[in-house]
This record gives sequence, C-alpha cells and structure tokens, in this order.
Amino acid sequence: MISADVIEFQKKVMSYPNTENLMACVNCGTCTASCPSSDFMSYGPRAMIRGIITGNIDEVRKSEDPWRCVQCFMCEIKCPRDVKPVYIMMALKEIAVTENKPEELKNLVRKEKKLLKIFAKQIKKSGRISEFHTALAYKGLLGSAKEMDLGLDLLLTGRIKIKDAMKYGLTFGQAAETKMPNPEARDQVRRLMERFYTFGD
Amino acid sequence: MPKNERVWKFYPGCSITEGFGTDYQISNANVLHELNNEIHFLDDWNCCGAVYLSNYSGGHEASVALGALNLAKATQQNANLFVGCSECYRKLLRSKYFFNTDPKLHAEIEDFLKEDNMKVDSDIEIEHLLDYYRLTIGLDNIKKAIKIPLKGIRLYPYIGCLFTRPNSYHKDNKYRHSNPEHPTELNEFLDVLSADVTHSNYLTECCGASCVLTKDEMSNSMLNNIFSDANDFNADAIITVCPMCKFNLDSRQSKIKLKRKIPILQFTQILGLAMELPPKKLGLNTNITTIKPLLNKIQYIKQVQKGEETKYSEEVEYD
Repeated sequence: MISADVIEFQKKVMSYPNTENLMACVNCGTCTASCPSSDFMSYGPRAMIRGIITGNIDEVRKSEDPWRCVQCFMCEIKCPRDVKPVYIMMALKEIAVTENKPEELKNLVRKEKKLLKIFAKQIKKSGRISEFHTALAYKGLLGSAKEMDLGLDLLLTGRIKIKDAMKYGLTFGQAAETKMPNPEARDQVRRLMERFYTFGD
Repeated sequence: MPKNERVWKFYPGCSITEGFGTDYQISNANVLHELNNEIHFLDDWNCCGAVYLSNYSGGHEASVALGALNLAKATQQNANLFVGCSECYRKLLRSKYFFNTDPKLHAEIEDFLKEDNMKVDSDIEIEHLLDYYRLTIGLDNIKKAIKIPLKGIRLYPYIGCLFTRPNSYHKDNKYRHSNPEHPTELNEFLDVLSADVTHSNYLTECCGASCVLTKDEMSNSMLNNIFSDANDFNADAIITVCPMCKFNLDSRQSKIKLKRKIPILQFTQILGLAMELPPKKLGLNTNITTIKPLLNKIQYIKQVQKGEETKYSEEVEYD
C-alpha cells in the first residue's frame, strides 16, 4: 500500500510542465549512464525517478542531485520512454524551494537564490546582464581573489583593460553593469519583471 | 505579415555584446563584411534570462515572458531571428514553446504586451547563426571566399549540448538539424575550409559552462573529457559555436592538468583565418590559451601552397 503523502508528492511533481511521463520509466538506467553530472550525484536521475515511483520520497526530498543537473538534455534524447528527467529535476528543485525545507538543503538553496537575485536585479534595472558583474557579485571579495589567476589571464591577453578591471574590482562589479540604450524599452523590461518575476528576494 | 516577407535579424545576447564573448562579434562582423552579407541587430533586444532564470516558479514565468518580449519586438520589426549564442537560442525556442503550449501564460503575456500595443506572431523563426552561414550565405559562396584551404590542419568539432537539444523545442524549425546526438552541421561547415576534421566523441556533451560559478569541479571534469578526446585525435584546434563554450574551454585550461594545451576558436574565427583576415580583426589577440601553434601551422601550409621556401620546422611549440 502506498501511503497518502507519497501519492500527494507524486501528484505535486507531476503538476509541473513536461513531467507527465514520469510513471512510464522502465528503470533502464540510460539517463544516469549518459548524464555528465552523475559522478557528482548521490543517486542519479534513474534512482531519483525510481524513488518517486516506489515511494522513497524522504531520500528523494533530501538529495542534492537536482542541483547538479546542468540541463544538457542528454537524458531526454536517450530515454526510450520519453520521461524527460530534466523537468523532473527542475520540479524537485521548485518543490524544495517553495516549501522551504528540508534543513539539509538550506545552504544550497540560499546560494542559488543569491545567484538568481543577482541575475534578476540586473535584468530589472538594465534589461541586459554583464558577466563580469555577475561573477564578481556572486563570488564576493574572497571568491574573486581565489580566481585571481583567471583575472590575470584576462588582463594579460587584453580581454579586459586594466582601467576597466580596476573599476570593476573597486565597485564589486557594479561599474560593469550594462544598459539597454533605449530608456523606454528598458522601462518595459522593468515592468515585465515586476509583473512576472514573483520569486521575491 | 506573411512569414516569407520577413527580414532576418541578429539576436546577439549579453555575452557577445558586453561580456566574455566579444571576440565572437568582432570576428562575426568582420567576416560578414568581407562576405558582403551583413546582418543587423534586433533593435532594443533584451536579455533572455540565461539558464538561471528558468528554474524557480516566478523565474520560469519571467524567463518565458522575456523571450516572448524579444519575439514581440521581432514581430514589430517584421523579422525572423538568427541567434549567436546557443544558450540564448535555447531560451528563445523555449519561450516560443511555452508561449504556444501554456494557455494561461500565453494569456498573461499577451495582456502585458497589449499595454504597449505589441503582440507575438506565433511563427517567428528562430535559427542559430551557424545556419546563417551554412544556408543563407551558403557553403558554396563561403568556399569561394577561402584564400588558404586548411588542408593538413586537424580541427576537432565541438558543437555543444544546446545546439540540437532539447528535441521538443525544435519541432517547428525549418532548418532542422540532422541528428540530435551527432549533428553534422559543424562538420559540413569545416569541410568547406578543406580542413582535416577529426572524429569527435564529445561533439554534443556538455562543457559545464552553466555550473562554473556554482560548482566548478563539475565543469573541470567535463572539460577534461573533451580535452582528452581532442588530444587523442591530435587536434590542432577545437572549434566551437557557442560563446559560453568557447570562453569556458579557452579560459580554464590552466585549472586542469592537460597533456597539451589546445587553441580554441569560434567557427567565425577559423573561417576568418582561412579567408586570410589578420588575427587581430578576428578578436584572436584576446584568446587566453595561446593560438601560436595553430597560426604557425597555417603560415607553413600557406607557404607550401604558394610554393615558397618554408621557414618553419615540423616541431610545434607546446606551452
């Protein structure tokens, strides 16, 4: 007998887009075999989906595996049953974030929220993003110092000018922010984010 | 407007115009100028949201809306779109897919666009810039512009994970690709340069660019696979089609213990070299991993082709 909260969890996962074939999985393991991140996952896509089907939802809920998915869609192409594991991973992430548990994933969720906030803030403000700013703002002072060898490479090859590098460094990347030239179009993007981006800070 | 009356415009994305992919645009602009086939930017294009904004509720809707806004601008300018970056390519196709299949989101986005008197034509075509070169300009015309056939240069094609995947977004595309796991598009392009195109076991395997910021050991492991494979085939260079892949492969070679460092070039840059454009005009002076071994080899074959006395030994410089 599968318990009621298992059925509820299965229904919740399958309420997200493109997850309708979850139950069609035949456990062949081709997804995990083709996944480039599977070495860094505790279970891999096959076992995660198996866990949802057989009711081991506690393990599935606590796993960091959905955050290792890089959305390369190799699993989707190879799956003989069209299960689309990428969307199931994305659904599991959303469930963990919106329910704000479990405790084990708090650090991971916090870091992802931080990156998402940096992205969304830039788009809201300027309509476009700057990779320099995103990297500096996400890594912070200490993290950026660890990537100093890359910074040096960028400087020595002229990919970034010394003047700009100093500006970006001193302002934590704020000076790197880029803008859409047309102010009306920029404002339209701001209105779009205010209406559709409901994730909050 | 009926779709055969639309013009084609270029959606560059944030990396190509302001970020780590500026060398791609330098080479693209100069090569297209030489080929007399320039293409204009989509006016007022906005960010596609990249991979991060698609994940969470509130983020998913915003990313579809951002893409739909770009498509609305394309509708307004009566344009179909060629996209330079594979990630933007995927996001725009994804926006079109969800805009057309999710009725609730469709209605909300339409309502938002109405405020500015805009709408989306559901059949705006979205193609990758590689197809602009292959099909619009045409491989025959490109072949005529080659000044140094690269015979003897071993090129390893790396098309990346988002050029053909996911399958479900590409169903309506006109220029539909040969095979989602082993697409032949880049091979055909490189064949026109007369280069020795090596086999590629990692042609569409992910390079991990999306997780470089959050967990770079994953990306390092993926990059290691690609470089080992290219080294096994003795490649003189790896050719990419996406600026994210290019920057990732180019800038992180010092973090991985490699047998030999390999020059990384975009497809526009290797084309420019075969058309005898100077490296600076192709943005190649800002490559992080040195491309000297490749340039030396090209110089050598150029001298051989012109019957000049060759001043270069077979020994290639390793870093």
